[in-house]
Amino acid sequence: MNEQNLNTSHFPTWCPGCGDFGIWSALKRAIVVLGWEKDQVVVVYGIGCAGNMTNTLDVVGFHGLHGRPIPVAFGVKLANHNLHVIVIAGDGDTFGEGSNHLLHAGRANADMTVIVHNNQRYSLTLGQPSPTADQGTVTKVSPEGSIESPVNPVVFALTAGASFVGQGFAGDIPHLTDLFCRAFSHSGFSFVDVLQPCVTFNPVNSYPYFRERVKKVNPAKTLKDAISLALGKEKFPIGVLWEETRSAYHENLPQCQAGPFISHGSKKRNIMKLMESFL
Amino acid sequence: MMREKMFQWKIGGEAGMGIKVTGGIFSKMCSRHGMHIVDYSEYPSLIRGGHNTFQVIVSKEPIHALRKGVDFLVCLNSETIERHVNEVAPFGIILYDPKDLPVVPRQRKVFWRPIPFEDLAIQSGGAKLMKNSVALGASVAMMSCQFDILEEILSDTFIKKGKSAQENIRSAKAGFDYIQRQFKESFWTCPIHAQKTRNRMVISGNEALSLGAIAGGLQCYFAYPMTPATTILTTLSQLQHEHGMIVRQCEDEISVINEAIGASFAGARTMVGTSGGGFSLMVEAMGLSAMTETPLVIVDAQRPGPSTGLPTWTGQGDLRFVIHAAQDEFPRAVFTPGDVEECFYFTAHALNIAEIFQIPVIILTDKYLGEGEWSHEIFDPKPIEVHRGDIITAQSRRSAFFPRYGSTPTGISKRPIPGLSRLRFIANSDEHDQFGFTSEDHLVRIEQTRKRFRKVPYLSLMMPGPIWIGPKNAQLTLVGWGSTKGAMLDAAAMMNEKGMSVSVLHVRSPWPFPRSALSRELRKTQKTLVIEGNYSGQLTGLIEQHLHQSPDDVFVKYDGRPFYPEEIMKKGLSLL
Repeated sequence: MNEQNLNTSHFPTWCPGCGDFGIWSALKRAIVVLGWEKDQVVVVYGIGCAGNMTNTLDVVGFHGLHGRPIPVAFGVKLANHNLHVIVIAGDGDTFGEGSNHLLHAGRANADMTVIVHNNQRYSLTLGQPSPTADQGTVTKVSPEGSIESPVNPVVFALTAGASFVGQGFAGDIPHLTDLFCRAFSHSGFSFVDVLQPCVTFNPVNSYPYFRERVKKVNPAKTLKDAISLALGKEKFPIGVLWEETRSAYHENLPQCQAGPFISHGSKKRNIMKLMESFL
Repeated sequence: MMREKMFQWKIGGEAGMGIKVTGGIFSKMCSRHGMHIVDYSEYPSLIRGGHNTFQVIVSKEPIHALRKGVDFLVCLNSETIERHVNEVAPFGIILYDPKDLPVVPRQRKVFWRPIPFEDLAIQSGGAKLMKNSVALGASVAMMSCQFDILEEILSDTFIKKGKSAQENIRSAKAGFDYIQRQFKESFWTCPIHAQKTRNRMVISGNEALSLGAIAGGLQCYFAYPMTPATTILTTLSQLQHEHGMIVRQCEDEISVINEAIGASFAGARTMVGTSGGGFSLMVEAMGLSAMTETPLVIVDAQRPGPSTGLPTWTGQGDLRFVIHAAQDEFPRAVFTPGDVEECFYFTAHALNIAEIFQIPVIILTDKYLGEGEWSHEIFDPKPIEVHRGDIITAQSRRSAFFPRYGSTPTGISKRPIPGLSRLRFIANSDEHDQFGFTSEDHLVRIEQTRKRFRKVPYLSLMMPGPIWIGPKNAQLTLVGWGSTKGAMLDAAAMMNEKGMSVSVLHVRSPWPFPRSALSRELRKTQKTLVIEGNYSGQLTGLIEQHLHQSPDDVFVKYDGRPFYPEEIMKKGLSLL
């Protein structure tokens, strides 16, 4: 199989030059490199420009609600942990509407890879600042500049308990592909923040802006170091920032020990003894 | 006259005094003596303090609801005496601790029986808390029941909790002996026959619902704690490993329903449970279930709102809400079980309906039905069947992109299970074509909308219709839905005993609205009285809207308390 096989007959609707093209490319390459069967891959999409990858990827897809792809992915993996589960969402979806779910899936170390398309904007709704936007961002809804300070995606994921945290750049597809391969291979909650421009609504954080600031780093040795790295002088460290071995949520369930939970099938159960306990 | 056939026992005390456990043991004890019971508890939203009560109506003949008036009042604190003394019927008995009431009021024809609950508990080597067991023993003695049956139940109850029953049994015996010594002459032989029978369960609506789900092949249950649905979560949690289910508490109701949809999408037979406030949070994703045609059963165990409302009380205020919830329009099914038996069978059936029709299905219960208990024979498991609808689990020889939402004569499309089937498709919250690709084309939109709604006539055929109980040419018909069934049945029985002709028309599924069946039944009526636990008369409104007819009268109740047959009868008599 090659990357072409992962295309559907629908071409993306993203603006020319959008970082989503780069992420889409790296994603397909990683799937090919890892040799995954496309009918065993479930991608759960959020709502936004990133979520509009839905029509373009030939795998099993679930295009869910804004802010809610993570819990859907959690449920999919519980039912059948043999499936490769990936979440594709924007930064508004993940840190605005859906931040609570990121926190709890991280705590659970639910096995999935969440890829955040981080362009600091709600682009599909025409350019409002997202929770990752720089303080003072001027848009049509924030004419005096946004007031809140931005959430730090890497620090958030680290403190949530994600066992794999990486950051990448949509303008460096080979690096991003390798990062995805490692995230997909990791068992547990893998979080990858992908820095990208929004060519239509974000004139500040452009490709040149990121190229000047991203710095490839090695994984931190302790959680504390990883957080320091994320808060440190290097504005945009990229690569695997943190990886630890910890049992994934479903690995702690006896119901999942003997294989995918749904492989047992569903049958009528004999509850005579159970009813007798109420006599 | 009434006490030969039935009597009502009520115990009261502070939260933390074990009122609920004590009451439950009393119910079980009566059931094992061959009597029919209904029990009901009232408690405020607290862990300690406040005022808790537990009442049990005990009857020789089958009974469906409580009655007004208490024949035995057991007071574990003075507040119980103050609050409930006026409920005690003439020639009723009040058991109380003289510490709580040193001077007995000269009041009506009521027998005050002092018993030092606390002292007896301490004397028998137990803690003060065991005064609840002393009260049980005293009750058993007053009713001429067998102590060994109480002992058996105390043993079972405390062993299940991993504790020693010995102290409780000794305390209970102390209460039992005290009554036998002190009140040999004046206690009143009650109609309980001391024959040991163990052929009826004592079971709550939530427990019956959980059993129905287990029997009906439930695989995954997701929930967030919320009164009065929490006991479904605890019941299923305890049983998950034995029966091979995954039961998970999520961080909020939104993740509950989205995780459930993910699990169902990936092939698990799934249910979620909550109350009105949690359902409010689930509403958006109910639309997601509908749009992606992902099967899901949602239990809404009602309590009064609006908002936080009365968390530990009962009501029927969510009917219109669940019928219309989520933006735009789509088919759904709603079950409104009226008793523990319907809780059992309808839950299993709901799982089938959800998977056959690939829609969201709601089971609407309430605190009164969910947490109250009824004695009932073991449910016959034969009618339970597991149907998964048109799913594809067999591995396709070649992987292919599949028309998951292809148009069919019934509107139901084949549903490949991801992974197992090797078939690919997109489940899409956006409007979509037959493969699930996002589409804004108007012809695609029309086709998909019509496909979704095409299911409705077939769905209607498979939902339980309204049921007529009682005389054919009834001069009055009581009409209701859900848990008012019991009070309506007993009210009708009381009126029929007085020589009237009264029937009950119980709506078991208000959606899809059973237009022709209900119309047919209502044509048989002479006078109709609708009974429902909400302010605006929601079923009444649906009947007026869809059938263009109004009942002769409507009896609504919205104070958080259940209906009593006596008050229904009073209202019914005013019509005749």
